[in-house]
Amino acid sequence: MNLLEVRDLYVKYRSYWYTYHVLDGITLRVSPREKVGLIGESGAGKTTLLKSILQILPPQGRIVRGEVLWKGVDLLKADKGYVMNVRRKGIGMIFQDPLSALNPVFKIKDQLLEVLRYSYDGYSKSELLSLAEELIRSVLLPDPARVLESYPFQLSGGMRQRVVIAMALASAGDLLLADEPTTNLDVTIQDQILRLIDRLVIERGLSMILVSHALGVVAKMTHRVYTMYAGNIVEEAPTPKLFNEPLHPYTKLLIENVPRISSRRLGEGIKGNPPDYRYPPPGCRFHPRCPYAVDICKKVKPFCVKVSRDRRVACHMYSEGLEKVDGDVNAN
Amino acid sequence: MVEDLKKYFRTPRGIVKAVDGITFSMDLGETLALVGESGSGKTTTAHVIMGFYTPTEGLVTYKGIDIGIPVEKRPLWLKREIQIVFQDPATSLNPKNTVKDILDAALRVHASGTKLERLNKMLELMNYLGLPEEHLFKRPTELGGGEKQLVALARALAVDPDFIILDEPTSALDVSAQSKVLKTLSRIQRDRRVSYLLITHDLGVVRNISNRVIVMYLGKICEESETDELFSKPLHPYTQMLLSSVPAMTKEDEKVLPVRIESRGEIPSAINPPPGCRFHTRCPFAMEICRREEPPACNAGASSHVVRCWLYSSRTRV
Amino acid sequence: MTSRDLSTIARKEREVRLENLKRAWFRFSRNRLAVAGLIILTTVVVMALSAEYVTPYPSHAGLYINFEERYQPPNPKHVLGTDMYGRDVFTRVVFGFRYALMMVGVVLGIVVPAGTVLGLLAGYYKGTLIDHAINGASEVFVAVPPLVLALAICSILEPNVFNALLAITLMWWPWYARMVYSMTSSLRNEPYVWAAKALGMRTVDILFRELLPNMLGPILTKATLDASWVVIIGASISFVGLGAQPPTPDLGTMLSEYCRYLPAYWWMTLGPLLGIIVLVLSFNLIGDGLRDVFAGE
Repeated sequence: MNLLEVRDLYVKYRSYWYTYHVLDGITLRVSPREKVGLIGESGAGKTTLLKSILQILPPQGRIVRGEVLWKGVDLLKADKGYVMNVRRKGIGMIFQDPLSALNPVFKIKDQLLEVLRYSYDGYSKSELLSLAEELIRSVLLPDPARVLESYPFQLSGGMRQRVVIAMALASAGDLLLADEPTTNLDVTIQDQILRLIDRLVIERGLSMILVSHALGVVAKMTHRVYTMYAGNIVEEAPTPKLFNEPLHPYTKLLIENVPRISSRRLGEGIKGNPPDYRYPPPGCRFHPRCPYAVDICKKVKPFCVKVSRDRRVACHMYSEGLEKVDGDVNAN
Repeated sequence: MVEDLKKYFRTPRGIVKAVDGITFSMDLGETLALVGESGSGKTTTAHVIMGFYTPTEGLVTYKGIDIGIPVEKRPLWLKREIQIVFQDPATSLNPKNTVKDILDAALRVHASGTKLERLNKMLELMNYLGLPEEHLFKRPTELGGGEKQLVALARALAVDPDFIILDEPTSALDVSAQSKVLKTLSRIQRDRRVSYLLITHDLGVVRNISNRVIVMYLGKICEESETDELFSKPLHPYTQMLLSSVPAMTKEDEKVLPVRIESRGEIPSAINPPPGCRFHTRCPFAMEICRREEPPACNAGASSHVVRCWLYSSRTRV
Repeated sequence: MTSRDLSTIARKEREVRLENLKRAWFRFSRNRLAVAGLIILTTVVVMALSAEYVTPYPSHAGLYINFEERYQPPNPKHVLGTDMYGRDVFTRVVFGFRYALMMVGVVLGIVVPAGTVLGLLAGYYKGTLIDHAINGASEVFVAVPPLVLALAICSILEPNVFNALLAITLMWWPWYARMVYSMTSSLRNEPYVWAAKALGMRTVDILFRELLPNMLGPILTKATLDASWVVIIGASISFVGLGAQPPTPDLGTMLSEYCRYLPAYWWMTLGPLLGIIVLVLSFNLIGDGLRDVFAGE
């Protein structure tokens, strides 16, 4: 059984004047112990998707329809207590900016205990404290006692991110959501953090959804990748296949345009800007920027087709003669 | 152009030796990349060249003239010749001004001329950088990240500089915009023969647009080489660590990565830098001598390849 | 490039400006109360400017005595009644608006630009002699309670409208200087300021073209909210007899003259009181609306 399954999820944001049609029918799946990547430009809706899974969308955000199945139970229909329990004990999230994810006026100890208190109800204070110390040790921070007594500003960026990971681990019983866990970190520190996350996920038998716009990070860390563009999942494939032979034009362009260390070949960039969510383009949302766009792309939204045993893509170029699949390829 | 430059900052916790004796020079029309982790002193170096800080010690010369003076006191011709493009165009462009205001401000300072002439120049620039005309009346907040950075570039180009400092020009941009900006940078260099000093920690960017690379660590230069040589034969353990930390995306990328040196530790504070070789605290090959004495500059491989590391001290010293 | 293109571009520029104004108005008009405030204030300003024509008895503004009509409660002939000399209270209040608005105009007209310029200079040259001089001076003025300072100045000098204005102006500028100072000292390290320096822009241009536009929102909002304070403090000074002297139809002066006749002739006090309330309320409502406009940008 899938650990987490998102089916046909639509999310809107509302401001006073406008409605932003952000998530436009997302379907994705995470198996136990699987590491899944989510790539796409900023503003593609990646963070919104993670927040919808945890149901921590801001008040303007609204889930229009769809299902978020956690171990087979739809979180959107489940009662509040169950959802709360999933947040506390099932899913942990690493937030993007380690500086703003930690409250600057409290000691690390207090912030960590606050999280632990919810995830481990019924534990005594001293038990919680030793749990906290153990967590800090597990993220390879030297001198846990001292770290616990410090304030966030006394730690370096890399150390803060380790603390944030420790906090996420406290509530990650089964699934870790990592939202750009290494943005703003130096490449050397990024490498250390990624190795740490990888080790912890494997050791604890967790699943992970890793969101990043740094493609290399996703390539290195995951088993399977989803490409997201403007609130749609446009391609899904096992990681090596996606990066070495991408199918969807957007994925292709994305990969071509990363400045690589292996060659002096630069892509042409992707023309235009991401779409305005107030008035998303009809048909395929990528068509205004797509070099291969034809008439049908402007009118009909492409459905997902299964192009091989473990790949699916939402693009008219591949849809001919293939059958529409709604759910996940591997599930069929 | 930069000789034994030192820049120290006085702070309540001690003297921060941000840049501690670095020497390098640049040729006309080349791109020199300064790479290293944050805290290695690369941005400080750039800001001293710009005159945002004055050097504590050492000399910064440009075309033979000492330019170790604050930017406010520099003659106008000098300000015209050296320009800078900052990391985040969202903050380097005034959010309240339109693109036209921003470009006009630059033009008014240097190229006197009628309103019409300035407008023509603006349109020419926008055209050259592939920005549509109607952006002229937009504010930066209405533009995409890549477009904003192109506007920042247009502002720098408006005064016809010979030398542009690029301070992390693409790290705030999305992938789709990065390569456009980088391509534009290369095109400008071809057309106008400007020199670039590229400050970045993205080795992919370095590989793609620079001719020469200087690797800095904690205020010192560890390695200096032609770009291709550095990527095919990195010598300094720190360079190797940097390179092996880059996550490989495809099979080709993996081939380029050198012997893997696992990244460990963090860059120490520049207030009390470690004695000897500053990298010894994180270096897997650290020897006794590394802790005591600073490594000499050695020539290894190609003549332009200089490395400061005891591992190569048996080779020709420079 | 031909001149036709230039005119197209100029037209386009005007269009964009108009569009921006429209958007700002849209945000402002969302706040119904602010629109109400604006309508009230506009009415008040128009009435005050054309007081000679819109009031029923313009001659009642100053010295005028008609004992036959004194102490009349509000009636169709005298909407707000008449005072102890038989003058129409409504007429006097409308003329009173003129003084109050003049005071607001003069005080803010001096205080806002002066405070802003001083704050910009002090903030931009933070840590230098300029900074210390300006901030030292502003601290002196801030240390003295405003009303006390104003009273002191008015009592040392001759009590009249001009000195009241001087007093208010002196005690007000430091607040703008301080607000602008704190904004400048954080904004001056923004990369766009460094970029402007690197381009060789003159300091004056950096201050007024780069920094000032980014502070205009808070300054204007504060100025509008402060306008109501100027009305109140101006009235207070006059009330204690140190501002405008009778028979000047100043709202504060009128209040102090008429309150002696409370409670029997309550309508006399009610007139200037309503006047003050209307002014204060409309300025505050507009200020809130402006805050929304700038917050939405």
